[in-house]
Amino acid sequence: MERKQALLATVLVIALAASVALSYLESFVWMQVRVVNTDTIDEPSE
Amino acid sequence: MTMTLAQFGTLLCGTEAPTLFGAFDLSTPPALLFYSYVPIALVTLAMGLFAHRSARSRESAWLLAVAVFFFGWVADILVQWVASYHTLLLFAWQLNAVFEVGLFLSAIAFVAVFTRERALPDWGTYLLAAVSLATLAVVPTGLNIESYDVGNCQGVVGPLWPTLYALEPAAVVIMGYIGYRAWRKELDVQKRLRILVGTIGAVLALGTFWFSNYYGELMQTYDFNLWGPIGMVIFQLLLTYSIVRFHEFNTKVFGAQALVATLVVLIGSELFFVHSATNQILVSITLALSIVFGGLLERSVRAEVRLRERLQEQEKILEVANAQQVSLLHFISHEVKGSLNKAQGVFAGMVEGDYRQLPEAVSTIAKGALGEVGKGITMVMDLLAASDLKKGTMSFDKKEFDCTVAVRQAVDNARLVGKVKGLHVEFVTPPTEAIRITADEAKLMRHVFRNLLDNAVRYTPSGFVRASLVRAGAIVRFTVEDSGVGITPEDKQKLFTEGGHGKDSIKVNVDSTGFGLFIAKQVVDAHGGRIWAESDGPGKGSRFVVELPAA
Repeated sequence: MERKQALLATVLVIALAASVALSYLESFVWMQVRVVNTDTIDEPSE
Repeated sequence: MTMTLAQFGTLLCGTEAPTLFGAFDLSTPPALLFYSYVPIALVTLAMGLFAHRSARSRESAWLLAVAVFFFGWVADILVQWVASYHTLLLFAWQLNAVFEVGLFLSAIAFVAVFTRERALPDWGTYLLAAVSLATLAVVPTGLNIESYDVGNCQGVVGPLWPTLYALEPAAVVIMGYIGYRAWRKELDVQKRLRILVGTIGAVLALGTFWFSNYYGELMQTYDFNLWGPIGMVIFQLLLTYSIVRFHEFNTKVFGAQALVATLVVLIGSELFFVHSATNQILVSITLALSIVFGGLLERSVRAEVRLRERLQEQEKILEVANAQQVSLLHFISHEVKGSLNKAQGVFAGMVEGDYRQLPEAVSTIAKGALGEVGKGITMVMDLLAASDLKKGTMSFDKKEFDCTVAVRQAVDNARLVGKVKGLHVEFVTPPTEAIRITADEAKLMRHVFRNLLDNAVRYTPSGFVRASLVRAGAIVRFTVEDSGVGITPEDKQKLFTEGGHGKDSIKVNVDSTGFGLFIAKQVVDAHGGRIWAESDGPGKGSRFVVELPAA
């Protein structure tokens, strides 16, 4: 039983790390998220 | 053309200046944010850590999980308010789902283990894990944050969020239901109150949390959802109450102090926001009341905790002393038993003529000594048995046997001793057929049947001793009745306790160790039976009844 729980916890921790890492990459590195309401912004950088 | 964040990544959000750590601007959010979020988050986390450090139980671990997710959520929202760069803002918006789902799942788990006092069932664990995994899979995708509103510096939420807002009330209802079921099943009044307090705390906390978020989102009034975390204070307040009231988690005075401090800071901070004179008066009164009652609460908690700590210390000291005494007694008894056995061997040899024919006088002395040593061995054996029973190291070799034979043997034995005193010892209504029980025959014979009959003979100066054995359904009843000295009501109270002599019994039986009936009761208990004594009072005889389950 304890082994099963440890395995489950490991899977969850890996999933959490992967999820956070992907979000990080998306936000800071790839920055490919679609942007809306750009009218109010004067100078989008190229 | 679809624009991506890459084109805005290096831009600051609005007019914000990244004055703090080059990434945050503290001047934008309303001041209430710092008053409501920061202390609540810190207090929740501190209490979670403290509770878990003190208790290290399933409950405290889940409470800590609730606190950690809540703290993460609050920190995330703070970043959303104060971050200066779009990239950091998007990251915070994306991660919000992790904390929000984690908070609700761990709160459900907490309520389940707190109210049921058991671990989560397997299916519950798997369900929690499955929901967590599904959420984590969705977090980095457009289902969570579909796009980014660069003009308003905020994420545009995807379909995950309406789903969460719809499921969260269901989670609150589930918590309530789990608590309600545990409450209905529980019979103990104290525990029912504890369940009630914990459940109501969790339901109110997460209910308020959900409502303020949902309403804020719906009305696009984000100032409103600043009040949401206040629900967590209710949760902490009620849990602290249950901690103090039911000695949960043993968080000591810390919890009460943190609670009072938070309340005072929160209520005090309201003075900066209310402008009408009525409100200011109301807030001031509330603040004054909080300070007074908070102080009183803290004082009473401190006193109670001190008292409890002292009691616990004393208990530990007593436990150690008791354990030492038991092992010392065991050791001494063992040593004495060895010497007595040797002496018994020597006297038996003398009596039986192993050392050639002895003069008459010496032979008489040797016989007397043999009898005395025999008594000494019996006493030491009783002490050892009692100490084994207390330490839990006595083992029982249970087998099925006919106890009619054992009882008849014990009665015959008692008859021989009784004859010397002129007592009439009889086995009334001896059963015609075998009465079988599953038990340790030797221990039952020695510590129960013989012990009760020996006692009856010993404490009966004249008259009769009657033993009977009957089977009544699934029960075998052994009774010893005598016309002896009887038992006073006070003696009856401590008859089966360790060393529990009757007040005057030592006058009648100088060899009594006071362990005989204690051992008899322990042995009967170990066989799933009952033993008790009846007597109409001193001089009116007594009746000992033993009931054992039939085989």
